[in-house]
This record gives sequence, structure tokens and C-alpha cells, in this order.
Amino acid sequence: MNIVLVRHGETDYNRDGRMYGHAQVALNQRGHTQAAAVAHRLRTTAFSAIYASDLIRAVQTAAAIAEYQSVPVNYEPALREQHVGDWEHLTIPEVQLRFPQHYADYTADPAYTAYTNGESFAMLQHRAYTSLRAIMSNHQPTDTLCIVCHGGTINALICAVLELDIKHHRKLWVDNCSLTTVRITDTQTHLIGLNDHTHLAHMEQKQ
Amino acid sequence: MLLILVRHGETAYNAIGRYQGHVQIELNTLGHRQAARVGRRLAQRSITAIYSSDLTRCLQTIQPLVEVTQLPITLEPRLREIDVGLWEHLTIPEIREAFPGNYAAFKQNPGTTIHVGGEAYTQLQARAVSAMQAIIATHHADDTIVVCTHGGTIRAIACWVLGLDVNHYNKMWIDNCAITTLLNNDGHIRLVSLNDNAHAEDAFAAVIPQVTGTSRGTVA
Repeated sequence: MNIVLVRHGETDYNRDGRMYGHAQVALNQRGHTQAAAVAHRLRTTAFSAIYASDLIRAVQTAAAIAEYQSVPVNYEPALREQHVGDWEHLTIPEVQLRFPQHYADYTADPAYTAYTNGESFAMLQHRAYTSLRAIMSNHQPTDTLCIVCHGGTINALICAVLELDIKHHRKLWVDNCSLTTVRITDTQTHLIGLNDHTHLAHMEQKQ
Repeated sequence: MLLILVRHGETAYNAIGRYQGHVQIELNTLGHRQAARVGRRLAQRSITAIYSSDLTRCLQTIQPLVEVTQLPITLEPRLREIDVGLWEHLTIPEIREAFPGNYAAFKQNPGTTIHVGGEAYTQLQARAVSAMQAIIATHHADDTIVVCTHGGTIRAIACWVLGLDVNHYNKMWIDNCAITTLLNNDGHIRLVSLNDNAHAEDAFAAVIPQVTGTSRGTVA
């Protein structure tokens, strides 16, 4: 089964470097333009189904993609971004000021340290990969799925597919509205494309 | 520093599933078209330098970009494909028949098993990483470097960048003439794209990499 993972478009929080996990922040103008571009790129790919995180930035991005497709969007809360708890809405300097000890703990072990009142990356990976497997069980091996979700969620899924230790997850990078493709069969899991953002080439990339 | 890794275009051996390793084999007609397309795509960027494996299929692949940019090409033998030893010229059924023990060991431990008469992926990785580190040390932070090399070599380099056990190299697939990109910030290297084939002439493959036949890279 081919599964195309699309990260949501840009929000003001992305632009300003604010932490957010489950906070409801809509796409900004640039994010809407990115969503339109990725939707157009995918127009000739007939998806068997579209799934999306139920956070507004993913819902808006998926809606743009669905305009060119003949299937509706299914919303799946288990595809949400990592819950960042008390860090929600803060910049890193603000986090360092308000939670210095927790920030030190987190940076020492970003894979397994849970955000206060939130999740660890390991917890994110468990719920997201469980959700992906459940989604796949509803489909045929020849189906092609589109899943619209988040940078952390996509990184967590890639780690699962590659059997990459999640302590290395920050060595992967996924841009807003880029395409990442995995192929999963009964016996094997493959990463066959990472962070293809050719359709955004007319917009300045930040990496 | 941006490091753009390009796999060579298709050869007759790729098309029929024969191992080539260090065999000197030329691009086929499709391979030349792929080389022209990726060359046009890369020529839109400001390239600082071009490096290539010294095997014929890579030199032919990078030629269109060299012609447009007029940049010198630096040959780097350490960027060659894995040396598959006695597996050269053979298909997988032929290898299973000729070297059943070696093939079984390879399936069990694809990263550390030496291809009889050749190399293991760990050996390929050691020489390819030393070549990449030398390239990185030679260039400046804002340089963009193109490196033309091979499917096995690109995956060995990606394993190094990610910290991924080289036994898992074949969980990643690289199509002929697809682009894989590394971003180096002060020695912190990230994998910022893998197997980007948006320039493929096949419209479907340009969205979802096809990875059919031998282009899945299971045949070095």
C-alpha cells in the first residue's frame, strides 16, 4: 500500500517559532497558498481515501486536496501532532524562562521526555503508528492513501517505517505541504520519498 | 551547505535486473533522457561544485549538468557503488544458484555480509562517508554541491546521516536520477529529502516514486 503523508501548510505559529501541539491555529495566507499548490500537484493521483488529523491546520489543508479528489476526508484524532502540554503557545526563549528545569530535561532526552501535561515523542509514535495500521486494515494492498497530518507525526511514522531509533528523529526534516511517501506491505516497510516540495519551488523554502 | 545526491540514470543491467557493482556499463536510452531531465532541474540552482563516482554510468549522468554549468567535475572513486564481487553481471536467480550460502547470509544480514569477492555495505559506508566528510571540509557553509553516485552509496550515506543501522539500508529506495538532499549546519547534518523524482517523465512516478523492477535499488 502506498501512503502519501502531507504536512499541513504554514501557520503564524510556524512562522514565529511558537510551540503548538493541539492548539487550534489556522493556516495563514502563505499556508493556504501552499495547500492549493500541493492539492494541484496531487490532482492526477486518484487517492482511494483521504485521512486527516482533526486539528484545523490539517483540516484546512486536507480540504484543499479533497477539492480535486472524488473521496471525502476522514478525520482521525490519533493523527494529531504531539501534545506539547504547558509549552503550548510559547516560543523557546519563553519556555526556557518559565520551565528551565523541564527544558533542560527535555533537551537531554527529546525522544522520551514527556512535555508537562502533554506527551513524549514515544507516546506520539505509538498512537500515530497504531492509527496508521488501523487505517490500513480498512483498505486493499493496491490502494493509495493520502494522510494529512503534522511534522512530528510524520517524523514519528518515518522512524517506525525505517526502524530508526526515535532519538534521531530530528535528523529528518519535513516542510509545510511537502510529500513524504511510505510503502507498507504484509512483510516490509519502506520509505520511498521524503519531503518532496517541488510544487512549492516558486515560494521561498526555509529549512 | 546543501549536498544534492543524484543517482545515475538507468542502464541495460538496471532494466533487466543484473547486478553491476563496479562493472563499466553505459546508460541506456531512458537513462540518457533521465540524465537530461535531472540536469535541467539542477541547472536552475546555483551550484558551487560537482563531484562524481568515476564509473561510466555516473559520468554520463552528470554530463548534461556539466555542459550547462561549465563547472569542473571532481572524480571520487570512494563514491563508487558497492563492489558486489562475483555477483557482478548476475541476476538474483543466478546468484541464488551460484552462491546459495552467500545469498542466504546476505538476506539475513544485508548490512554486514561481504558479497563474495567484493564488499559489505559497512565497507561501502566507511569509504563513502570519508568521501562526504572530505567534500564537506573543502567547502563553505553557503555552498551547494552536487554529488552523482549510486543507489547503494546514497542509502549508505543516508544511514550514516540518520544514525540508522546499515542493515536497514534497503528500507529506503532510490530511483534512477532521483535527488536526495543533505543539509549541513556546522557539522549537524540532516536528511532533508529522499528520492525526489518530481522531474520524472512519467506523470504518476513524478508524484509517487514507482520503485518498480530494479530501480528499487535491490540490485546494486
